[in-house]
Amino acid sequence: MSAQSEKAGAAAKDTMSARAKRAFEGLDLFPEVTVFAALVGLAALSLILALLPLFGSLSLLVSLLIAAVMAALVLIFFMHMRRAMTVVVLSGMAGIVWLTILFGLTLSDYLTRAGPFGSSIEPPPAVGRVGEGERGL
Amino acid sequence: MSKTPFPGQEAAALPPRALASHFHDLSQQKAAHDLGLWIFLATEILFFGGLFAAYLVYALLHPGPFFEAAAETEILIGTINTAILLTSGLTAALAVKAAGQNRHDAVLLLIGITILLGLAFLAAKGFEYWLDIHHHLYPTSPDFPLEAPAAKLFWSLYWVMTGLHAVHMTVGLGIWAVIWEMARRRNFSLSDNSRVRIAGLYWAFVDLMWLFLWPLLYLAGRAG
Repeated sequence: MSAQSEKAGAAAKDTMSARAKRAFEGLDLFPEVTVFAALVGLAALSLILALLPLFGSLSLLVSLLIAAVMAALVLIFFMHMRRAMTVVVLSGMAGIVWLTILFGLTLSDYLTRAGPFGSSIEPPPAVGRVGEGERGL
Repeated sequence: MSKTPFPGQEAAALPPRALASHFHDLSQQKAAHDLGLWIFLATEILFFGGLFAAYLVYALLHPGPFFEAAAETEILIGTINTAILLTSGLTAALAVKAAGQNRHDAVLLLIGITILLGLAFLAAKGFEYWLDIHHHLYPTSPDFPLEAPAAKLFWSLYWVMTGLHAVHMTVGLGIWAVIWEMARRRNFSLSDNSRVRIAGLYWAFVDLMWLFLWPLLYLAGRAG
């Protein structure tokens, strides 16, 4: 009896794994798996390079460069940019174009202010003194 | 059934759910869905973009204290979460592929794994937030451990950027959960409808944002 129930249990297990197997049978896992392996490899590379004192203050730029390569892989393969219509690519790129304008105009302000970099956002010392003087009167 | 010369006539034979009346055929409808979502994603790039610009400005103005503050984030949890998100990106991409081939069981399994990975990400993120609060690493804390004022700027950005990303993750999980249940009930044709593909695009985008948050918030300031 117990052998029979064991057999039934094994059969149930078989159908479970068989179902999972059948679910994926003939489903082409490439190029997705290859892209995934590349993404994991690039993430590991980014982590190692970030921990090693190789690039000094440029370290973050190296990490971001690797992130840009990973983003391109995700866009092309996981978001189907390689087969997308031109109008879809254009609308996606429009986001990046406006982002570039946002960065460009922001930096064109901060990087071109008079005096040493960053000094213009400190409160001018004269303001405090004038304020105190007025309060004293 | 004879071949019809006009694509619209073929489409008319499909169940009414798949093709909306204002589209000529399924390929036109799919193209419209893709374009609509991509326009939305372009606005999302700018939504996150404002925060990236703020990071850029503060990192340039106060590089020293800003990156010292960045070295205080939980790099182990952040890196584990990167791995979790990359894996969920794979299962989501495969779910989209399986949906295109009408593979019902594979779609359910792959979306299910994607949801579990997303929940694992949020759980790890929650634990990380708990650790951060435990270490007083929030800008309004009276015991904030870092002295430089710019450190608080970094930690403000950390909470807002990861918070915004977590909100997107939660929305994505909700979308996947609804689609999973609809697919389980066989409510819609997997290959004719755009649901799985559109959700996959959104999920990949949330993945994409994390690819930039990870170096900016976790890898910055670690060397030397």
